[in-house]
Amino acid sequence: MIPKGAFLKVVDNSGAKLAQVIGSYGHIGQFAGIGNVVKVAIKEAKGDKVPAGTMKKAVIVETKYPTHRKNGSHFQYMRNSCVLLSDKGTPVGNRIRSLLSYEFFKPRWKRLSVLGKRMF
Amino acid sequence: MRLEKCWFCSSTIYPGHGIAFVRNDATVFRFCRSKCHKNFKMKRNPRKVRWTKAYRKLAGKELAEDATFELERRRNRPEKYDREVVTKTVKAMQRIEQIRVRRQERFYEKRMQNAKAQQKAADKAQLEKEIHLIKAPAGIRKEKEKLRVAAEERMQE
Repeated sequence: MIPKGAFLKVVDNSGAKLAQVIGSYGHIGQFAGIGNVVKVAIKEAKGDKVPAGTMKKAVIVETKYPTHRKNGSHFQYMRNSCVLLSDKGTPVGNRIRSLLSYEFFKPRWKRLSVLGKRMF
Repeated sequence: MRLEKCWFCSSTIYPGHGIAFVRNDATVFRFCRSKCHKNFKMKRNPRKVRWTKAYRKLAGKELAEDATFELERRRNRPEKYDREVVTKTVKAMQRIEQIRVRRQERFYEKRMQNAKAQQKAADKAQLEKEIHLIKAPAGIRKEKEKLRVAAEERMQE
């Protein structure tokens, strides 16, 4: 349940640390959830690959608000985080510090899912 | 479909129930209901919370180690589907359940063996001490009188 203006922790090794949601892509509505692509502004960054102040696309990978699966189960994480994407939709970093959920098993996120170790 | 165990109370989590919590170090905690989830958030240790299976097994109130628990252990190698294996497994599950229930009942009986005698002794002591709660003082006096007379008669003989 990530609204516009929310701060997300960046969990890949692109260099960025904190990103703020400034918009969404597609018909998401008021809140974005796991698997939604959002437009973010990088607030804190380490290094030069993605400097602070730039705008990028990102996909939300963890939310504190419970995500509902069609089999009836719910799961939640400890924080809200995202992974930065390029304009085309491919991940910027090459390692992800997060346990991805099966929402990223879809072929759309093939590039992203191989960066993690296993899926929950 | 997989039936998980609640991390806190060890009961089975059926589909559609409970919440899974993923911690930052990628450990997944599954809870059967919000009671267990809230206790976890309070940082309570299930081994010290009396109504959980973890406490009961640790305190020796329930069967902890037994061969019947072997079948339920999690295996991470998927088996190739074989119809005979499946039917045999289902039958084995039912049979093992019977045996396990019987063993648990026997464990409970053994644990409660001395309970009946203890309870009886406690009841007897209470009766002698607090008879005044049931009988009226006059009635008690009359009974004592009767006993005294009978004892005197016995002594005279």
